[in-house]
Amino acid sequence: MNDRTQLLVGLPESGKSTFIGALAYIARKAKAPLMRLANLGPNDERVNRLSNNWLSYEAPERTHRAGEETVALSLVDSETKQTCTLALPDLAGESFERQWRDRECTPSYFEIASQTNSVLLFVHAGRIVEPTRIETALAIDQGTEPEGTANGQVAASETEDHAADDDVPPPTQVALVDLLQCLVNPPFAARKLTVGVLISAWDIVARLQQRPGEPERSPDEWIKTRLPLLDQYIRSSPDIITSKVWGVSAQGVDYEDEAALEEVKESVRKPEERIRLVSDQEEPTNDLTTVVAWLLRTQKGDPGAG
Amino acid sequence: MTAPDEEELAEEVLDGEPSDDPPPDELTPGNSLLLAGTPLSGDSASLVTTSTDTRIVVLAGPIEAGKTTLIASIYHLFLEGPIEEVSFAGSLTLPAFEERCALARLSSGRSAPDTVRTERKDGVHFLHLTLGGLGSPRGTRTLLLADLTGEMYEEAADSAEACRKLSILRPAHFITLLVDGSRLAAPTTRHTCLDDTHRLVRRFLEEGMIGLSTHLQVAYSKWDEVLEREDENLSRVIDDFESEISQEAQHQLLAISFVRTAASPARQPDLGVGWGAEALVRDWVRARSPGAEFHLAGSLERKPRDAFGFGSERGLRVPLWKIRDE
Repeated sequence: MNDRTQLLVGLPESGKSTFIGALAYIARKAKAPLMRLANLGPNDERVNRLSNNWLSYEAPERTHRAGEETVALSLVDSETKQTCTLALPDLAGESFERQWRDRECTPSYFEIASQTNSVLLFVHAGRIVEPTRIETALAIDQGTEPEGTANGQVAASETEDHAADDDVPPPTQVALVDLLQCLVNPPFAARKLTVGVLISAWDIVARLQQRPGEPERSPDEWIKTRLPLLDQYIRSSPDIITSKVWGVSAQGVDYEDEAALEEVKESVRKPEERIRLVSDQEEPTNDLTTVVAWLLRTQKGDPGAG
Repeated sequence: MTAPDEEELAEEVLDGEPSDDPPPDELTPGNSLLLAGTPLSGDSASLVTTSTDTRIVVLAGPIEAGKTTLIASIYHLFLEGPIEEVSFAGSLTLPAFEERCALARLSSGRSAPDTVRTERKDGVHFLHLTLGGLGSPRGTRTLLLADLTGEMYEEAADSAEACRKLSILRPAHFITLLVDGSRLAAPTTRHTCLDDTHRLVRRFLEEGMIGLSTHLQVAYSKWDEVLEREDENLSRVIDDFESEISQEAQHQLLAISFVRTAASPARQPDLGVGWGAEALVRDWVRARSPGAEFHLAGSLERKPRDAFGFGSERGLRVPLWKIRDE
């Protein structure tokens, strides 16, 4: 088991690639990040492309299964000088969906996932599939239940209709729990995982929380409210999982919002100003390597890991 | 493959012989099989019961009493948060739970919620839940929920032989016996409904399928339909029924309790999905359990456990299917 490899996992379009691109920039260019780029790898083409996508305000290109490759990024802890490697099995959306539907994983994923106890689990704040029951949707439509209930269930009119679709995706919280559970069951060895949960597109949450009457939630509270099953699973299993939750906005703006995008482009002096990383335990920062450092130091049993 | 006879399967399990789990669909060459997520067979469940914190719950009752709907509603409650202080700590059968919820979700395209029917060919199978927040030494407890087709219970009420085939009842810590609330609510069918229930309990006792190690929970389903009728006479009828059952059975059982539930309360939506189910879950995880160790298969030797109660030796972990070589 290689405790210096950190595995990035998450559903399709949950922010993994954007994170890598922004992280690579921070590790290379920021003034005093917790982790720095260790060395140039034998093939950095994909990482560099992701970094350029991020710098150019472009969404990362979504790959297809035929072009599957693992993206790796090596970092060194500025304080302890320990090194680690972030590994993103460049899984296309179809591959992750296949894991749920067909209960199998590719050899490359198996190889990487077998080697590590450290996991970065991504979830996109704006792409939550809710387990909305018919009764709840009817009640919302009839006005007997408010939109955005305690569980954040959306109104029927806002939910995709998969009536005729055999491939109905599972609720996001279920898929994420399944993803973690699969890592501690055969064909993988039983082990204890250190999991960093990253809520990407945290700027969406921040914008919603500015609405009148909308409660302000920290990342921990957001997980508890929007993904209750995942929250219960990671908290009820201290013998399997050590975890920490962050909200991260790496893009800094919705690329689809042209007006906001232009405003950001005109105003940003340093690219890292676009980034915001928040947690319940620390002050906000734009140093994305904070997450990597926490995973590395927690694995090493560093009491100051935070 | 046809589902094995209940008795045959129980014997296979008790002998420690592997049952014939259905073969997997074709695996993409080179890929590895993940946690299957399908309901556990008796053989797979037997591996789980080597954990002392495992309790077997059998959902019993006639066709359309609401057994599967109740299970689905309990799962749905966990999707919304802990049930009282009991929290979700894992499940080997998540896809199976999802399958049972599918017809009640907006994504099904239906106009009213429904539940997939449990069929005889499904055989004996278990849904798995590990629950936490309990204060026990390890902090978790595992439940194996057995959901058999109602046909088998209807046959068992009439036939001793059919009753003995429900061998899963013997090792169960809890029998949650559903009384169909829609039949109870209607004056024409309520006495037949209660009499059928009484006969089934008597049959279970006489055939030795339940006894001093069993906690019998009589769960009235669809209580929203009962509430809708506002029938005072019904409450007296129910009191008589509960009194009769209790007098007859209480000294032959570990415990007996009566719970009102409404898993999908369409007639009284304010009750909320899974109304009353928290009382069942509370008993399942907290009620006193008989001291006798129960193992569906294998020796009584306790193996080192990992998170899901499997032995640390790889050969003891749930090899639901063989992992194909690349």
